[in-house]
Amino acid sequence: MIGALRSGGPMVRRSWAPAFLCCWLVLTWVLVEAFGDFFYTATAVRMFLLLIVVLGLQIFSGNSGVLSFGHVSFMAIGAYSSALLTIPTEIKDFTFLTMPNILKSWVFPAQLGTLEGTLAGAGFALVFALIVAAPIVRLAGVQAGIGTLAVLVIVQVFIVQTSAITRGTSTMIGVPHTTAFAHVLVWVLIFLVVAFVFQGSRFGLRLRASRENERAARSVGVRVSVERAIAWTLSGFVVGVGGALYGHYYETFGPRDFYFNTNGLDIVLLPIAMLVVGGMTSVTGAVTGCYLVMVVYSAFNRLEVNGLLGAKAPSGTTNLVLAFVLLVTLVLRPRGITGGSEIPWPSEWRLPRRRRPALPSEPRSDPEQRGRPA
Amino acid sequence: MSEGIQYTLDSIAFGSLFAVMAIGLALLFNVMGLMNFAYGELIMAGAYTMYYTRGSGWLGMIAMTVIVVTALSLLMELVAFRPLRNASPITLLVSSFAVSYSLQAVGWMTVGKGPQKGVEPYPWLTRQLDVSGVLVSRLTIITVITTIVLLAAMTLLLKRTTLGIQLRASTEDFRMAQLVGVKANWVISAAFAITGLLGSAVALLYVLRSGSVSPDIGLGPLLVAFVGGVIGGLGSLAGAALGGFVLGAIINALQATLPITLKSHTQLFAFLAVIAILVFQPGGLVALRGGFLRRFSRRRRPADEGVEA
Amino acid sequence: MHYGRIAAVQSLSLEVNEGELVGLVGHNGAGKSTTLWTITGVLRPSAGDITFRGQSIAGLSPDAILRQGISLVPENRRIFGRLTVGENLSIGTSARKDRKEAEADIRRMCERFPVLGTFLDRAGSKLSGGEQQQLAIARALLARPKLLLLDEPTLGLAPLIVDQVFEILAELKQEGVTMLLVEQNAVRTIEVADRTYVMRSGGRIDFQGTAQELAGMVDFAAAYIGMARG
Repeated sequence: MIGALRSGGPMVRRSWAPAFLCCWLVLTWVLVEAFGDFFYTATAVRMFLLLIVVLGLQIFSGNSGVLSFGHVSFMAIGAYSSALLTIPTEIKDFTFLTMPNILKSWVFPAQLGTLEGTLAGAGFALVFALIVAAPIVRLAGVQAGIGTLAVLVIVQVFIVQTSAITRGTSTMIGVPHTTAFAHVLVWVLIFLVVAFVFQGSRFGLRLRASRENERAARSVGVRVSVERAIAWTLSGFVVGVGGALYGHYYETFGPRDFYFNTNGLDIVLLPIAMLVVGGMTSVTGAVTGCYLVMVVYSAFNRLEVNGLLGAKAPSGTTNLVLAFVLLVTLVLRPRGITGGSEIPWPSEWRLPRRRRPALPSEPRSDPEQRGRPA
Repeated sequence: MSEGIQYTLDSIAFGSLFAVMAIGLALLFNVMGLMNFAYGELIMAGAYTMYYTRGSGWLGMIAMTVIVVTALSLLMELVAFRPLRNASPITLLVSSFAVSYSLQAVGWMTVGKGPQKGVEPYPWLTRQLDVSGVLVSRLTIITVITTIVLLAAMTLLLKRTTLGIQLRASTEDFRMAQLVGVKANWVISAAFAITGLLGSAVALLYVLRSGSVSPDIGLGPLLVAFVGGVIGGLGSLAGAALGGFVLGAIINALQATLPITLKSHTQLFAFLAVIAILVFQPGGLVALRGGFLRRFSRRRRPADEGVEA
Repeated sequence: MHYGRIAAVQSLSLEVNEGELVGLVGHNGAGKSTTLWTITGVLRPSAGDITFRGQSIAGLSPDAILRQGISLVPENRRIFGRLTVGENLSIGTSARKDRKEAEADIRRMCERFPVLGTFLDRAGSKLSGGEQQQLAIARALLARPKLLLLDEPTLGLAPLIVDQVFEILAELKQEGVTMLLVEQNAVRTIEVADRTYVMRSGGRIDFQGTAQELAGMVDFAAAYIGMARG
C-alpha cells in the first residue's frame, strides 16, 4: 500500500488534491476552535461561508470560463427562503403582517428543522437558477457579465421592493441560530468534493472543452448551453446553501448583505476577487484565493479597527488594498496564483522556474508571449 | 396640461444627461472593449470638487470640476487600463470594478467622512421661467442646451477632425487602425479625456439638480447610463446616446406618473429589458453590425485579433 | 534592404530585396497570413528575428512598424466600412508628417484609381469587393511604404477583378515598389513575381525560386499547381 501511495495509481492521484485541501480545511477549523479568540472564529466562519460561494462560482465560472457577477443573488434567495421557512411562527405572525394570504397559509406554519431549512432554501435558489439559466447560458464574455449583473440587480430590487414577503429594507428578525462553525465546515468539505467530482466528470470535461474552444467543442457535439446550464444550476444550489447557512449563523440580515457595499465587506466583488487571485480554473485556486484574500482582508480590517502601534488605518483602507491586489493580479498574473492547476502530487512538486531574461539576439522562449502560430 | 409639458421637459432634461453619459461609456467600450464601471466615480469626483469649490463662484466651480474629472479619467487610463491594454473584455470589466471600488474606498476614507454634504442649488438656476404658460426651471433649460451643444461638439469632432476619424476607425477596427499608423496610446488617451469631459458635464448638471454628495453618488447614474447604453446598443455612439436618453426620460416620467406599487419596480423592469436585449438583440435596438461585435465573440480569428491568448 | 529570418511555428527563412516582388504561396492554413501578421507586429515571433534595412523590428508595435516603412494590405481588405472613401484614404496618411505632400498623394491616388475619386464621399461598406481592394491598396500606399505586404488580395474577387489586381501589382512593380505578395493563386503569382517561396502546412518552405526555376521542378509543378508537364 505504501508502494501504491508512493507511485500513485490514477485513483489515488486524482483524490490527492481534494484530500489535501480537506485536511487543510479541517486543520484550520481545529486550530481556530482550539486556540482562536472571538475575532479569529468570526473571521474563519466568514471565510468558510465565502468559500462556499467561491466554490459555487468556481463550479460555474471556472469550468465554463464565463464569469458571473450575479451569484450573490442565489445567496440572497437561499437566505431569505430558508429564513422564511424556519423562523418560529409566533415571530412571523407579527413581522410579516402584510404578506399576501396565499403565501401566509403555508409560510407561517412552516418551521423546518436545520437541515430541511437549509435544503429548502437552496432548493429555491436552484429553481431560480433553472429559470434564469435559459437566457444566461447563451451569453459569454462581457455579455454574460452584464447579464448576470442584471440578475443581481433584479433580485435586489425585488427583495427591497416586495417588502410584504421580504420585509424590504428592514432586516430579518428571528432567524434561529442553528448553524455552527462545524456545520459550515461540513458543508464546505462536501462542496469541495462536489467541485472536484464535477470537474472530473463528463459534464465538467465537456464544459471545460467549451471553455477552451467553443467552436471546436460544438463541432464534436458538446451542447454548450446545456452543459453551462447544468453547471449554473448546480452552482446556484451550492451558493444557495451558503446563503441559508449565512442566515442561520448571523441570525439577522438585510438586502444590503447581498449587494454592492463599498463601505464594508463587499460580497459581490470579494468572491470574484478570491477566484481571480487564486486561479479561476482550479478548485485549489478557489481555496487558495479565498484564504489569501481573507487573510489580507482581515489583517487590514484589524488595522482599521484596532490599529497598530497606536495608529489606525483610515476606514476604507481594506477595500482599497483589496481592489489593488485584484488589479495587480489581473495585470501580472491573469491566471491567478495557482495558474489554474490543482495541487500536484508531492513527487511532482517543483520550485517555480526562473525565466532567463531574453538577450537581444537570443531566441525568446517566453511561454507567456502572445504570438500564436497558425 | 401644462403640468404634463413640465414633466415632459423635465424628463427630456433628465434623459439627455444620461445620453451624454452613455456616449462616454460607449466610446470606451468601442475603442478598448472596456466596460468602465469606474465611470460612476468620475461623477463622484466631480461632485466632491463641486462641493469644495462651491464658494469660488460658478465659473471657478465649473472650471475646477472639468479639470479634476478629466485628469482623473486620464489617470485611470494610465495607471489601471494601459497595462491591461490587450486583455479580454471580461478582464477589463473586472478591473474596472476594482478601480471603481478603489476610488469609492478613497472617497469613503477622505471626503466621505462626517455628516452628509451637499451643494445648494443656486437660486438663479432654480428660478422658473414662464414660457408661454409653462413653468420651466432655468436648470432644465441649461441642461438641455448643454447636452445639445455637447452632442453637436462630439459629432463635429468625430466627423470633421483627424482625431475624430482616427477615433471612429479605432472604434470600428482597432487593430487595423494601428496598422495604418494610428497611435494607440493617443487615441485611447483621447477617448478617456473625452469621457472625462463628458463626465464632468454630467456631474455638474446632476449635482446641481439633486444637491447631495456622497461617495456612492455615481452608482445610480452609472446603472441608468449603462442599461440605456446596452439597450440602445453600445456598438454605435448614436445608439448608446439614444438608449440612455430614452431610458432616462422614461424613468423620470414613470417616477412622476406611475402608481406607487409599480414604480418602485422600474429598475427591475429595466434590467429585465437588458437581459432580453442581450439574448435576442445583442447589438442593441439600434443594432449596427460592425467591428465591435467581434469583441463579443470569444474566439477571434487570427486575421482579426491575432494577439488574444 | 532585406529582412532576415523570422520564426513561426517551424523555422522560416525569407528574404526580400529592394525592388523585388516576392511571392509566397501555399495551401490554406500553411501559415502565410501568420507570417505577415508577425512582420507587421501583430504577432510576436517566438524565436528568431526580423530585420528591416539592417534593424531588428521584432517586438515593435504595429504603428511603429508602419513608421519604419512596412505597410500591409490585409486579407479581406479590412477597409473602414463606416468611414467614407475619403476618410479611409486620409487615415492612410496618419503616420506622415508632410501634410501638403500627403494631400497631393491622395489626389494622385484618386487619379490612379478613378473609381475612388468618384466615390469619395461614399461609405466604405458600400463599395464592391474590387473597389474595396483598390481602396485598401491605395490606403496602404499612402503611407509611402518601403515594403508593401499584400495578404491574398484576390481572395473572393471575380476573375475580371483578379486580372485588374494583378495589373495593378505589375504596374507597382514597374514603379519599383518592393512587395511581398501572399497569394492562393499560385500560377499568376509565380508569373508576376521575381521570386516565389512555396510554403507547406506548418510554415516550412518547400521550394523557392524564379518562375523558370520553379517550372523546372517537375515534382513541384505536379504536386502544387497541377501544371501540365513541359
